[in-house]
Amino acid sequence: MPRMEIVQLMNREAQTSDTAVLRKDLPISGCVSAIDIGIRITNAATAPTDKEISDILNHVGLVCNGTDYRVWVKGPDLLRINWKQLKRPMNNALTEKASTAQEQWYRLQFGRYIGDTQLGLDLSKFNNVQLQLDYALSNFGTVGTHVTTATFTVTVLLHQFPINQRPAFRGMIGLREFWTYTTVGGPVDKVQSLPSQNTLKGLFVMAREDTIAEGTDITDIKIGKDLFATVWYDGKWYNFQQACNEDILDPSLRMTLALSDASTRSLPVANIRKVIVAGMDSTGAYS
Amino acid sequence: MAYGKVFTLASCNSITGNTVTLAAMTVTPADAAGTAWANAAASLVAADLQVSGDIHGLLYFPFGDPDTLDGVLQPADLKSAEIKLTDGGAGAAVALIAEEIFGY
Repeated sequence: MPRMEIVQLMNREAQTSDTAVLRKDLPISGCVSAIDIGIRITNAATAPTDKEISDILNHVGLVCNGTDYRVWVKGPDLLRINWKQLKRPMNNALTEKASTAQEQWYRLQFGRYIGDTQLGLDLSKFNNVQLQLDYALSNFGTVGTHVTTATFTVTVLLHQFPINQRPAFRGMIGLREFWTYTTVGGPVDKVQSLPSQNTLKGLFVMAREDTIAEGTDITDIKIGKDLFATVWYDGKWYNFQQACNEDILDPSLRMTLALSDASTRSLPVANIRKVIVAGMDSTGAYS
Repeated sequence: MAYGKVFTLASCNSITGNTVTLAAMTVTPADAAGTAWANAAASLVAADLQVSGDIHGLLYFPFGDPDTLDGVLQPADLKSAEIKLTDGGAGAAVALIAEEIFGY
């Protein structure tokens, strides 16, 4: 495998708008294995408790030639997908402390791993490739109260092959949200066709609701073809979830709280098996 | 001893789904200057939290060998492919996200 390069496309570029779609054109040539996206905000004077920074990202997109969406996924979903793909959470510095910066990283991976010479994003195959971040600070909290206005900053890093060692990719891996809905209770069955234009490597099923046990809102999943004459998967959410999490190397989320008695936190972790909460001294000196 | 520190004691009282309920108290030790032991419900004090479990609200269904890609579903397989989800409760934000291979 060639020695990969990391190219800094954006470096903590503060966005003047608190709600917008950030569009960043990628270079017109190059072979990219993955894109790392770091978002950073500054908490305002009121500590933003029980907020998830990923909620700021309505969608992360990679759009080729203007209309061809190869990536289209919500921030909270991408956070969880990265956790599954990498078997650990992406790097972060999460804090609820007032007037303090916090950040979260995400990865769009176009190969099976960084440095994959078979699959990746070949920019020369397109007239234009654009990274899009559809964001709203108001999803996080009240702008000016919980989060400081105009502090949404973005960093973009490209994991790419050296110019003289560009591979001939066979294709690239994309990640596209193709159906959303809100559960209505039940039992009610919903059937949806899978996208059929491209080879399908895998399928992520997301069902997120705070304060609800896993396997409650979606109880059963069945995947197959020909009206389920052929079945590939059929079973309970809670059983598939065990299989899904068996290879996770770091199942822990860490953050600094602005903690009050009898308060709650909703987290991107479920089936919680361990909670460690440790008070700092009143200065919170090491956070 | 004039220690001059206020300590925070915190614990997790309950867990419901992905939500933890935390209790926290500040404790001020007695000192030689005559300050008595005191405690109070904590309010916005700094604390570390570490939570371990499963990834919330996510399932992944692979359709082939992750290394060789043997067995991934081809468009011919997918023409009549479907997923059936059974709702058990109301209010979850559901999304289906395809991990596709786009050929060049």
